[in-house]
Amino acid sequence: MFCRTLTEKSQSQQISRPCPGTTTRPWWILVALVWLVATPPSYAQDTPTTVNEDEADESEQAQRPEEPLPKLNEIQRPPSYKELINAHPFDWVIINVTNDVMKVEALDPRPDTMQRLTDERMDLARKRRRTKEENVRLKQIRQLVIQLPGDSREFAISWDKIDQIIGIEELMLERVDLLIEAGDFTKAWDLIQRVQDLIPEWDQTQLRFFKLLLKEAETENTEGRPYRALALLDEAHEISPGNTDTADLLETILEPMISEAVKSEDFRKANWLIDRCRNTTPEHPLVQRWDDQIRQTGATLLAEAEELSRAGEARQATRLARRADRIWHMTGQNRKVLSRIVARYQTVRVGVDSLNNNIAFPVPLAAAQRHRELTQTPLFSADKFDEITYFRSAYIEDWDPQDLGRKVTFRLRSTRPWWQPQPILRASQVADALALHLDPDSPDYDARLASFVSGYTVRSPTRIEIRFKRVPLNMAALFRIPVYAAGTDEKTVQLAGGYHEIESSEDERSYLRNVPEPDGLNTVGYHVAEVIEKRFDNDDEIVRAFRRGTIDVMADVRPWMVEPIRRSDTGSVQQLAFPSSHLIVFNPQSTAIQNVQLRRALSLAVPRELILQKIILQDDEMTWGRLSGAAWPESSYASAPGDNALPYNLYLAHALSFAALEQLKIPIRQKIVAAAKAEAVEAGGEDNWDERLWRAQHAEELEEASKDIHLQPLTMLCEPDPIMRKAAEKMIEMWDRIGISVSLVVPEEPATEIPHWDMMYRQAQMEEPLLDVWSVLLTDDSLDINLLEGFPDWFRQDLTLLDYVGSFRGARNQLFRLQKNMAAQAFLIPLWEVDQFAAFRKSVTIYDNTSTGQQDPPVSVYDNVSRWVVKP
Amino acid sequence: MNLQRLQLKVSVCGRLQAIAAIVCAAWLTTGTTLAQTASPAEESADKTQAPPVPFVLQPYRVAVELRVLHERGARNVSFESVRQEISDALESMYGRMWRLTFLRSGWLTPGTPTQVQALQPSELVDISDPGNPFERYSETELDKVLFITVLGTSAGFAVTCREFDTRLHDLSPILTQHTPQPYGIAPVAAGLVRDSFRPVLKYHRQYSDDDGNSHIELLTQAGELTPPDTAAQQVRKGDVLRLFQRMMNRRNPTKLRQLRPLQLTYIRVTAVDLDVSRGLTTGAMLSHGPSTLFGSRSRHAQQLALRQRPAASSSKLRLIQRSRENKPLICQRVSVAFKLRSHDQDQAPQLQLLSDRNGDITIPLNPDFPTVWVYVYSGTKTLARVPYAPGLLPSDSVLLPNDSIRLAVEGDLKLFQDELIDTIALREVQFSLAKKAVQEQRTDDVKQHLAEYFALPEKDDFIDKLSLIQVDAERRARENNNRFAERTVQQVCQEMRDSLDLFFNEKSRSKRMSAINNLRRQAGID
Repeated sequence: MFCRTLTEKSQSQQISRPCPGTTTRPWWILVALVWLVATPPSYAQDTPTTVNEDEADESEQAQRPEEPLPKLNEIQRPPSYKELINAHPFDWVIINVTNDVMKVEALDPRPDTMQRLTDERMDLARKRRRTKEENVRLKQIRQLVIQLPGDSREFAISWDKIDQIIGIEELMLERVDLLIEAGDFTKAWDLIQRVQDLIPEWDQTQLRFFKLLLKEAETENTEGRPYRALALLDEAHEISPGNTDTADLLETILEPMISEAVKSEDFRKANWLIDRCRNTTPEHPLVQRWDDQIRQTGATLLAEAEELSRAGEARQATRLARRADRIWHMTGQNRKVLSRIVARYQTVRVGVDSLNNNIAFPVPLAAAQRHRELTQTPLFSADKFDEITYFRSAYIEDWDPQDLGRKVTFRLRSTRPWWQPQPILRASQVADALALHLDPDSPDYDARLASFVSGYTVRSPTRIEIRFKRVPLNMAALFRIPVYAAGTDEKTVQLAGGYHEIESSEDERSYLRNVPEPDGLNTVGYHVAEVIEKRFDNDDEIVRAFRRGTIDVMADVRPWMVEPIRRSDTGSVQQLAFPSSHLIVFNPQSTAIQNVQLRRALSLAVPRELILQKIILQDDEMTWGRLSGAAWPESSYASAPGDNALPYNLYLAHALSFAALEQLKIPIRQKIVAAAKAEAVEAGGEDNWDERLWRAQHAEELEEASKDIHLQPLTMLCEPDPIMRKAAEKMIEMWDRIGISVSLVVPEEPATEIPHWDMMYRQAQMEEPLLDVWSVLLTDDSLDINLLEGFPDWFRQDLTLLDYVGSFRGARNQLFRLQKNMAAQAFLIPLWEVDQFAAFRKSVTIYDNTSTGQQDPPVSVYDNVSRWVVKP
Repeated sequence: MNLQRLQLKVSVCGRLQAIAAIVCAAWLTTGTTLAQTASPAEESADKTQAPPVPFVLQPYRVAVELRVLHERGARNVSFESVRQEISDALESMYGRMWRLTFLRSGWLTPGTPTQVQALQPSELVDISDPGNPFERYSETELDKVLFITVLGTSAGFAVTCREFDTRLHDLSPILTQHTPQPYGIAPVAAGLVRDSFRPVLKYHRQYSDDDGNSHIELLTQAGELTPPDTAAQQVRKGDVLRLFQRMMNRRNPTKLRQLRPLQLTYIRVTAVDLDVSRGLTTGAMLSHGPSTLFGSRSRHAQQLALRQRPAASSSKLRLIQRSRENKPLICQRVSVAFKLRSHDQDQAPQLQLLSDRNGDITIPLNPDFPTVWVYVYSGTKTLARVPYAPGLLPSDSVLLPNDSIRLAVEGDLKLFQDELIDTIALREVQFSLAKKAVQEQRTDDVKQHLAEYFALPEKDDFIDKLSLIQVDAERRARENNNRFAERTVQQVCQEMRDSLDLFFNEKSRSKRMSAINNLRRQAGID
């Protein structure tokens, strides 16, 4: 029941229980109420409203001393922040004439309670025919019904006694005004939120909010935080678009910023600031002024670039043109000029996470592999991967096996397409290169190649005949050798590759095409002339740069970034042909990991699926990765059919770790037993000795003697990659649980010496498992047979037989066997494989080698880079 | 007087030398040669001819093919003066031990060191028709040919020397030395000749001593003719002899039918008689097999040995699979043991090697051990045990049986063993967990752990797997006609089967079952 008469209220009071916490009631309110109801209401009442004044007066006055209500001019208005922020909603009812302030429970409707109730009353009163409900409502609002704070009773006040009603929200906004003026934005913000909660969408709140934003932006700018000020202004602009105060403040903030950016030639920033202003106030004079100035600078640079281009300085011209493009987004004729200049000398900017400058690591890291790919073009290189790897040659036109494969004649290309960055090779140069690879004293000696090749003859400048001691199963894979000429001086090496390094710093490295494309071609005939690798501190920065257009290519896209980039309109994501196999390999020269049970314990304790899902892929569905049982891709012909994933069994791992420890204790125990035996034999001959009995009797002694023997702590080297590092840390945590202590070493600083390591967590991409397994297993490219010393003979045989298999089927069977044996004996611990991706902006068109539109995945990031086309 | 001399020798040199002395004394008194004693074939041939000169008195018939060449800018020396000086030097070194002639054959033109180095025995004799009178150097006329080249260079003179044995068709390694002055040519050449020259010995007899060690006695050609220069002594203690068997034509015993170099069979000289029976050499036979052809009693065979001293600091030994000679045995584990006979104790720590991608191992020369024993291992098996004399030849080869099938089975069994260990470990783990669960009254966990315990492979599973490994390997061995592999596979599989029986014995099984039943009772599982 919303409204009751005082009489009804008195009756109900007698039967109702007092509310908890409402026992103390200000007596003066009751007195005031008595006084108020003594005056008859302005409107007719349906029910008698007589009050037993004497009774009420007497009862209250008998209990409490008399004290007047506070006056409006005496009370603190607005109340303090503290009083308001957590206050139960209330209103102030101001009494006529006396200006007494009566604090009551929040009234309804609100805001403008008095006005709205008066209007409603008038409207209802004016109606000639009212419904029953309207009659009830009119009766209800003929007087203002209030509840005192902490009192469940209701009282009615005649409207003519009320001067005004001040709602809590009005008081709050008054306090907000004061707080804004005082610069206490947090409290002001809190109060505004409170008002927003009480009265959503109230225009007064929006007004205060705007005021707050403006004032805060001004303060932020004054205090040297212009970007925060801009953000606040953006918000203010949304509340009140076109407000002149906002525009003025915007200029105050932006003018020095743009000026500074232009001065420091950070035009990207300047443009961004101008665009910011343009977005809110397109007609702002600042926009026009700076636009003109920047356009002028850009146009000047473009004109200079054009001059240089005409003078044949294509590289400089492109640099200037690109700079002009960064200064000013060109359109129309200027854009055409820019396109023409940039097309002549195309530069692709590749974002990478590391340039690995002088980081000492046992295997080439990703940066070194990219460097090698750009600077060395081997005689044969991978072209396509589909279960087996297909190879191509940049130098050889065709090759003709003879004498059942015991001889092959390479016919070298005598002409060179204009886009090819490598020079034409002569047969004598290939012969010189072969000589270096076959000479045991040469640093480029290739023991495996030497074991196959029995001799070679240069038949003509374009023909070289190579004879084999035995027929290689995959001749092209065997000849993936870099082509050096005698002397291997730098110039010669550069000529043999596609690009050469021209500049290198901590954050950037540039490579230039070895043989430039000729002048005078059609604009569409040119390809990438320069590759610039830019280093960023983390993946997020690379993605940001890719989105901004600071780089054209992301060399490595993390699995969880694939879909977002694909969904974005920035460019395309290209899956590479070879997935990356994550492995733990052991140092063949380390004695700490010779124990097979120890290695198996390490393998069994790795929760592969968990790490792959949570750390490597960050995807429970494992869309772009899978568990692997081999060091080569699961889709390779060399992978044994079926589920090869290795088990995770912490119990067994623990048992094997214990077994490994027990094996370490054997020598010392044997020594004690041997001494005891010698003593016993000396005392009474061989018959006096029963080893089993002696061991049983002296079990404690034996245990005591070997109690200080522990498993040797191991050192694991990990590639300097943050994700791999996390995975390595997780593995180490698990190994720790089975009692194997492993310390992690992640070389991130330049060094000359490779740190000591027992095992290494690395990535590998095997093009041809038949030939590549050696270098991965032994972490050795020299194919030094002595590194196999620590392996059992049967495994050495398995490995070396790979060079002698005579058929594809034989090779497969041998690789299946090798895979099984490697995993079972944990000579190498396969973990998982992760699909590799590179992202290309729309401006980059990579080479389609199929000409059918169904492009084969590139085998690496820089696959066919010399045929990429980059547009501005 | 002879008898007195004999008694003296008996007291001094002991029984072995006494035997030699008796033979020698017999020759001195009766005129019967030691060679005749050793070779009945020659004895019958001599009946119609004048008695030949005894082997130990036969001087070497040596021809020197001397070439004197000059590069541009070199000091000139005359051929004649060089020839004369070398002749004089050799004369003073070997005296009557040699009958020296100088040749200047037209076929060896210009006779540069490179050309001499590239010489092959087939260029010097007709291999397809041994004893062909038209061959370049006939054994009927010459015993040794020395190729000496003096090459004048701007820095002095490079002297090279190489020796060829006409009877054994064998060329020595080429030796080269430099001298800055012309007067150094002859001494240098003489030194090189001394080092290149390889004396020939003839089998005399073989006997065993009280310790069961076998000894062989040989006679040295011209052994009785002591060289004036003691440095040119033919055989010394510790020298190594390479062995050859010359199979002579039955109808014409002077004509060679077949020459058999006995590979990897050596005699290491243990004693040389320099006083009484000069030319008598005693040595230990070192052979890879239990017996050797050398010394076999054949009327048509001549058993000759060539004393050869190391010319290089190491030798390459190539390990080759016997059934597939183009397949070297890569990465084979090899130990080099330093001792005289195979059954002797090691005199020095063994050298551990691995064969390279060509199947080669490089065995360094150890001056204290001119012969060594080379052990080739394949897994747990010793594939070969051969004697070897490093430094004599730059390279050599050993044919070894195909052990790949057995070795593969060894790998399979290793994996099998791992699986067995895993099962054992997991059984213990599951049993312990079940026991703990019983203590903590977790009945469901007890059930689960026992179920996992019984899900682990049993003995029959392992027997089946083992049979699969064996059957597959035996099939492959039969396909390759490799009886050796078949036998060894059966052997190793049987050993593994015995191990299985040992682990899965009935006693431990029933003990464990009783413990499990006890756990079940405690956990209230039926």
